[in-house]
Amino acid sequence: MSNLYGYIILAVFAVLFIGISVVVSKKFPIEGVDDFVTAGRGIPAALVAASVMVSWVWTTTIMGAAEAGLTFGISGGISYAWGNSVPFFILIPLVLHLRKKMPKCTTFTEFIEQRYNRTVANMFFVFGVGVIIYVLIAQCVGIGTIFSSMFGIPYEIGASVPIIIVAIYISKAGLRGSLFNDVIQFFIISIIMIISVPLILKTLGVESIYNGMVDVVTNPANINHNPDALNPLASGGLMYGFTAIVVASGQVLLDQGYYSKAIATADSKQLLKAYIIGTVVAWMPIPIICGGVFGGSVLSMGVGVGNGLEGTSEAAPYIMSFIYGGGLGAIMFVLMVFMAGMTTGGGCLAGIQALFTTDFYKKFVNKTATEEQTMRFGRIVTFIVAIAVIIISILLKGRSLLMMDIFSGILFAAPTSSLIAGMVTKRTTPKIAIISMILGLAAGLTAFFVIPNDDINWFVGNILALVLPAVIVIVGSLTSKYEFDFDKLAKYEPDHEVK
Amino acid sequence: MMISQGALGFILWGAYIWFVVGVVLIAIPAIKEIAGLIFKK
Repeated sequence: MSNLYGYIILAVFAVLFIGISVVVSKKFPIEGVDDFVTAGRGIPAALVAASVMVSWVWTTTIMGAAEAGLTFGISGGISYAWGNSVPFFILIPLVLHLRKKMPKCTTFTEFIEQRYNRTVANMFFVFGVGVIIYVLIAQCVGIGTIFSSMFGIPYEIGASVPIIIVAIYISKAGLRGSLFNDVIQFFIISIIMIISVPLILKTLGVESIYNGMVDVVTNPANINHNPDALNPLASGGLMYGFTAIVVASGQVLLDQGYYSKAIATADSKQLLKAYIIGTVVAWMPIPIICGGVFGGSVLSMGVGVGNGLEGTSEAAPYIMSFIYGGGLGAIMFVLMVFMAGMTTGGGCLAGIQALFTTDFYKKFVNKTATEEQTMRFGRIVTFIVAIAVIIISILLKGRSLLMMDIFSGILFAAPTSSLIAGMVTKRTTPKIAIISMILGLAAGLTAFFVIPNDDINWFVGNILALVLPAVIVIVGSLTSKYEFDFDKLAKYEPDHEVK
Repeated sequence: MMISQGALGFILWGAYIWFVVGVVLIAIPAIKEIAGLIFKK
């Protein structure tokens, strides 16, 4: 397909999303740091729900879940769905608790500093920035790969232009710009899914998909032979689901974007409604669809790596091109992945902007900075991060999105236990938090690199990175006599004005 | 364990209907809220 279509898509959506942010910033002029990073703390539930849903729809949710469907069969998409939903059942009570206990909090690192100390907060800051950079890289790799494979646009351009667009609209209109653009992107993703899924199921037919998958199960000569392809509780899929919990825990609980949106919501009741609808109701079926319909269809057609596909990540684009006959299918698929990457990237960059604007500049750079100077710093950092992400994404060209996702669990799961414990118990000390994070990370990485069996090293590494810190935090807290005074949080006053 | 054709159809079409319900629950109030925000200012 002509690369002209790809360039037109990039140009049209650059104008649209940057244009929306210009209109939003004129309609709702930014009144200060708090307004910039929390959109005035009065956003209604539906807008937040749309934003949370699309923020959790990554390029990986579409391509990775389809890849999981191709790899694990029907259990792939289902495991992706429940595994990646579990962290939200932890996040939702945490953010409700945080809003109640610490009403003037903006970032989770502010909470950590008050609950533990500056050292622990600095560690969380590093993990928080790391998670966001990783998530952004995953989006850029996904979008770059898609634009390159579908339109022949150089990977480097496909990976870099979207994040530049996002950086411009986030720095222009802050979190509010991200939320408004998310709603537009929510409609684009939803419409494409609503049209495409019945088209695929009607064109191929459930009977044909089923018969093809039966062949995958029973025929050892089938290129995708997998005796568990029609088993929703297959052990491979279950292992993948448990790993997804670990991977997603860090990605959700350490992503400031979700805290910013929770704090931006008008009140706690709307927060609860927005997060339940955005995640359980609207997001959860997406990986089941991508794994079952996209991945399952490809499986049933006898297509696999070396026979129609260069890599398992190509399952989703393959089926869209097959159904729509190349042109329109390619454009719709690219649009879906493009929107998924942009919305996730937008949430992340808004999060990183919040972290650096509220938590970094006044503490480490300029203690007497005005709110205007602080926001300018946040905008500059947004662009610096975007450029760093582009460079790393170019270096990671051709890497598997699924493997990148699995490895990130080991890197980011370790801090989640001390974060949760810090919210719910007064007994956990800063020392316990630090030890749990260091040992969890070390154990996970050691298992991954030392265990020679590639079929289990990622699983053991992820489980250790999550479970070991949890054990240390639980045992340490039970034996500790430390008592944190939670009332201190209610009196917290940030460096910037909160209305 | 191998599911039947009916069960596969239920999973695939069920996930689709579930998704549509989620989209409707967000889309209708979102349109109202955006219209309200735009015309209120």
